[in-house]
Amino acid sequence: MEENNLDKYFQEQLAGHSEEPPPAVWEGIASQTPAGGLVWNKRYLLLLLLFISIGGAAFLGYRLYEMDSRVAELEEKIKTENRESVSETAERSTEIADQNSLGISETKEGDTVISSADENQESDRILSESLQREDFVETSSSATIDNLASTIESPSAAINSDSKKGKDAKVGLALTPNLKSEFGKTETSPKANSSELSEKHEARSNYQGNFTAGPSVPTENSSLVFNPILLSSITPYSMVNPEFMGTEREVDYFNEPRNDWFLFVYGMANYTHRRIVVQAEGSEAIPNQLDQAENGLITPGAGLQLSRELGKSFRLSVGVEYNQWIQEGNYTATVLFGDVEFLINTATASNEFNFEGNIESSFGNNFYNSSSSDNPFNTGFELLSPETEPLEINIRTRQQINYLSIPISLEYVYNAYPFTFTAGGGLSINHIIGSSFEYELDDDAPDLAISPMDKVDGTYLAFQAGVAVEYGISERMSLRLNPSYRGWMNPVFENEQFKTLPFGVAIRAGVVYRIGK
Amino acid sequence: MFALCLRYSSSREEAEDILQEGFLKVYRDLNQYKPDAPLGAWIRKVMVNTALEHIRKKSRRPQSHGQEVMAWDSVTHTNPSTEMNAKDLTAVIQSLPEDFRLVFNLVALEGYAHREVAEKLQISESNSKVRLTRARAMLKEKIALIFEIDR
Repeated sequence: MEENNLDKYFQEQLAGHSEEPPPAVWEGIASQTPAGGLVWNKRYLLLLLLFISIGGAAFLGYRLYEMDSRVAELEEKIKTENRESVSETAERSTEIADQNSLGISETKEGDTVISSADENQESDRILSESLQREDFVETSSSATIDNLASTIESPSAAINSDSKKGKDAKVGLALTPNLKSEFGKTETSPKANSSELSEKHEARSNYQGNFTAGPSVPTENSSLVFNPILLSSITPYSMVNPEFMGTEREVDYFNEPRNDWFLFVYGMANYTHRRIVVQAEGSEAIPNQLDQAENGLITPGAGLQLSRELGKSFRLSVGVEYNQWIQEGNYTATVLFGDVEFLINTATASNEFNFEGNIESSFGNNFYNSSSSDNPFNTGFELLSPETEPLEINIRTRQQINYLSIPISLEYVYNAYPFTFTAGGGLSINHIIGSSFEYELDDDAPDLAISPMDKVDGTYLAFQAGVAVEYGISERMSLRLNPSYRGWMNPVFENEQFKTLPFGVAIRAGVVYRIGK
Repeated sequence: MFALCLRYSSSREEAEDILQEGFLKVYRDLNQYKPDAPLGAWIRKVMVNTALEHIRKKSRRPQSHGQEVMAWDSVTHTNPSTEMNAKDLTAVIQSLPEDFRLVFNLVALEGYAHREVAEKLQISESNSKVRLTRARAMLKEKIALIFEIDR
């Protein structure tokens, strides 16, 4: 039968041939096509999972942000109330002190001392109450207020003492400028300019003038000015970076709840490989062979990550990064005599040797085939026989996948100024954007063409977890080192014999820039 | 369509899987169908592609002898005086090794060119030709054997 006739024979015999599939097939189709028209395959489930994750993270972020805003609002309210209260107290105290001054004068003139001492006690009580409220606000303020409180101990004593001695009330009146400097008030009391001021009032006036110029710069005219640089704020880091020392803003920055944004620009070293998670019974040799035959390589990558602080303890991040996964393989293709087709073309007096085969890798199958006029067994044609030794061809492959990742993660943040430590994890959406396949043969190997690997594409989900350490090099910039683990949740390739899941470890290193107040 | 699936598969069960997958694809991708082409031809194309994809997903290890014998045994031709019926010919095709069966179906029965087959199966054009030659040779042998046994 001629070849064309054979084709025609089959075409004619099979034309119009139909077979009825069993009812189970139709039932199976019906069960997978819901009335709504949506086929709940893996893709929809993955998308649903993704939306739930993003929605959940956004909701959590919003709730934390809302809580922080509310706390900040309340704190601001309390601060304002306390400022007003302390300011009033200070004015009241000034008035009492003025009265004391008059009392001192009166003392000089021989009147009672007790009345002015009672006034002083009242002043102390009011101030103490105010200070207790102020303690609630800020750590550095508390430290300053401690300083103030110690000053307060002396004024009443000083005033009492002055009342008795009838002179030099300078020390006792220092409490007024201290209170004012605490909240940055610089206006001079009208009484300070009065020509009727006593010696102590002039001293206060001098002090306030100095404060206006700068509270941290002591002058010879302000012997009682305290330096607001607190000992607790001096660290090895602040010695190198003086801008971090002494002012309330920097000292308290790391302990305040914040809502800043951070941009992390990084390069990365990435190692991706795959692990065998399922293998068919009796197919043990195939995965083991893969394990020995393939090696992952360390590849470069780069990315950007935008983070939002959620209070002082959490950060929500989303980024985009470019990754590569390269695997090198070493395979041996064994070609038996029976696998080779010999064609003898009598018209051209040439021979043709054809053979083909298949190698398996993590990414699928690669077919190889050879069609050559050269005898692949490297022996004389007349010597070829079924006993001819099998031909072994060493094939070195390099398979590369390029993918973009969108990592979404929530991190716990611990500040140990100037270091920041984080630990967290989340999901990563990995979209394969390209793949390539290269191979090499030994010099003496027959001509061989190897097909590209099965098409690898699509979008895959992975979970990821990692830790990071940041070192602040200025108020806005820090260096960050971030090792992490990424486990893919669905296989890039599977068949009936085995299923593998990729995993990767990466180290990201780069600069974090704080975008915010 | 089930007959088509049978020709591409090595067993009835596999053909049922292909048919089910194929119809789900038809259902899902119906919005991609352009009415200027016959619906039957479009569904047939989807079925062929589904069959190729299904087979590609399977392990491409050499066809086990057991599978070949099973398909071969299903040939029920008993009357030497008449031609083989479609069912018998389908069984003969099923008995071919997978690589040869695909090429024979695509080139001889569907009318694809070797270039297209090479693209679909990710093999070279010459390889496609070699496979078709081998497939034809095997079919001839098998048919001849059946007639010989019958005689």
